[in-house]
Amino acid sequence: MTDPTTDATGTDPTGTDPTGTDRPDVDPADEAVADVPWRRLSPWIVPAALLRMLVRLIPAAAGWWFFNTDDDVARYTVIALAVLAVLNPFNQALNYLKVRFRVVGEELHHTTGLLVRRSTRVALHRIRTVDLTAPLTSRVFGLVTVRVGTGGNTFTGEGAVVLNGMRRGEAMTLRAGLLTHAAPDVAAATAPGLESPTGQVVQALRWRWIVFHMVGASLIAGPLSVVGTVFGLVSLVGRGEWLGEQIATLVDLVPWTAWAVTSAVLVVGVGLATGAVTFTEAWWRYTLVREPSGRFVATRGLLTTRVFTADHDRLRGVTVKQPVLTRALRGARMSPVMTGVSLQQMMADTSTMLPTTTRDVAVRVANTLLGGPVLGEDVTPADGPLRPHPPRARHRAVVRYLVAIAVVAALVAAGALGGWWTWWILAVPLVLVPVGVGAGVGYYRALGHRLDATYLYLRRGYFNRRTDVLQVRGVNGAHVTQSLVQRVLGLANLTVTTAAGDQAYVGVDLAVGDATTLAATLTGERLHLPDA
Amino acid sequence: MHDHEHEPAPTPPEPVGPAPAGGAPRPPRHRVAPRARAYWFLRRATVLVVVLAATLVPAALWEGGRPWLVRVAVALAALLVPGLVVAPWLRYRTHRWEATGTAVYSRTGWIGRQWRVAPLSRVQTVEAKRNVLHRVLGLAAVSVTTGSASGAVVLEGLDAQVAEDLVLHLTDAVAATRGDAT
Repeated sequence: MTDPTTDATGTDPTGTDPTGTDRPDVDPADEAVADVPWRRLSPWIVPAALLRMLVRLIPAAAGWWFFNTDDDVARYTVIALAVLAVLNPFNQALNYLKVRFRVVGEELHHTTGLLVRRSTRVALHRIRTVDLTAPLTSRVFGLVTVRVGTGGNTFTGEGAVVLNGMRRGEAMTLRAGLLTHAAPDVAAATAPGLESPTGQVVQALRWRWIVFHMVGASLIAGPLSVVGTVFGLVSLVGRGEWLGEQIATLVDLVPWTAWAVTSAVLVVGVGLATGAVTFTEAWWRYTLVREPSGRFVATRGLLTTRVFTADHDRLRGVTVKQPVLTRALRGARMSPVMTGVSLQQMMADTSTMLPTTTRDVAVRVANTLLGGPVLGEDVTPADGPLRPHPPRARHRAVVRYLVAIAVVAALVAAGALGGWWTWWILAVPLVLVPVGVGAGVGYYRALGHRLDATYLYLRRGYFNRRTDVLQVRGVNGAHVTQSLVQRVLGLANLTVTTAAGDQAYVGVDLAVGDATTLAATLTGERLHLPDA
Repeated sequence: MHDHEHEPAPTPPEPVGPAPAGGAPRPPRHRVAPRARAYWFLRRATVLVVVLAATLVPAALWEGGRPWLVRVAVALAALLVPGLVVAPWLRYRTHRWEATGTAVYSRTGWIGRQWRVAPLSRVQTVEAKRNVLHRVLGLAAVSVTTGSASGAVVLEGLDAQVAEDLVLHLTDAVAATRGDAT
């Protein structure tokens, strides 16, 4: 009762509870309902923020000092980082004051803001995800981030509560409390080291998987990002031009062929190395564990630990992708098709459950997830073969590649006519013709579908082959689509829609009668003509 | 299977046309309102006018860019006019809809064809939408969504009254066949 306004009027302004006076913004009704104390984030978020900013500041400052440059851009960058290093901890101190939360009965209350309060209430039974993550700088101080998501409005993120910086023990208690009240299909993810998942290990890391990552997209992306980063850092300290000159003189010194060979070797080497490094960082200490409750928990990561939890109830199937290079190395990438995965999770790549692996591992994990023999050894249905699509689909596939090549040829010919390029460049589309025919035939061979009592299988693609295995119970609609060409050829695409994963899965170039039958079976409607 | 009593019938059901080739899905029972042709025509005409205005007005004001702006305008007009002339009538021939007792079923397209089925047990929302052009022509669109972001069945160009009845009918039917809607 030190509040002067209370003393002056002699009555409690909230009218209910004297303890409410030091929190005048709290709705009196809440106080009446529950007198649960509010909790705050850990004060350690302030030094953690300071450490985080220093980690970013030190390299720039060291470079600046080391090169002793007078470059203005470099100086301002360092100054800006230094200002941030002060402001960010200050902001976290404000956060410590602003953010409060508590669990009252069946609700999680969360308020933020100092002058303008923003309150969120989340009914515990609406909680769909509870994720605990811990970046390196936070882990030093024993801090974790708790992210509570509700299934609804996953795309706007509305209703999600993020508690950035709780003591580890407190976070574990909160998580346990939320999970006991939440619906059974909640997905909870906890960074490893915070809590080791207990249960049967389904899959552990095999280092030979690294091969699939080294020959993938990183072959191109790796060298580009390394060169970009080096130039960025050097320009930051004002030595961009100097480096350019050094390289130019080096190029002049050695013969052209030696230069080309060296660069090629360097680029490939950097590409392979980048793939290896990113794989190591992303999949370090990877384990996939089945908890006794039936949840699958994948934990991984060297610097940032990532966790993905999949509840069996939210699983609607799997997708197995086999791009052409991976396929040549007998690899495959399996990912679960799940409902209630938030956009943030999809973007953050934490929904990845298994890296590109050998085919047998992908198939085995898929079968373990789905709880039975669903896929066979060669990523085909376990029960029987895929139904091939009509041979007319082969014509369409081949012609489609040939048309694309013809367009390239036309553009190249236009360039040659205009005199910009030599006519020899027409050899490129000519060489592409057999590749296109081969790809078209391969595309047709991959086409296939199968529907049994529980699963719909759809396979397509040559350069980027994918096999979708979907539970029939997850299908909530079907489209049969025909383009003009498909109408002439009597083919059709079948699109099944679902609330899970990609939301829509496509079977390409089925016989139109088959597409109709599948759509009819999946939706339980009579779509054929009465006499058909 | 077909719940004729509760289904709003705007016109006597069209006789089912000649059998579609090769086992394509049967046509849904109802055509859209005849004024839908005017709607599609006006919508495409609006796009054409906007496109021509966006190219020809600068062409009139800016002499330096006139030759190629006019060429762009001609090219765009050549691309858009066939659709303007043909699409509304082809669409009217193709577009059909039906509310069976258990699903919403539509056929759309003008060059291609798309049949969409949304089982009522999986339907989440049913709503009528009317934009300005709809209001002028006394039309409405009915949008039926499911738990999938790509699962919506949209019935364009229904008579406003028919659309209203359909929304009522579907809302009742969805409530009666409440599934888990996922």
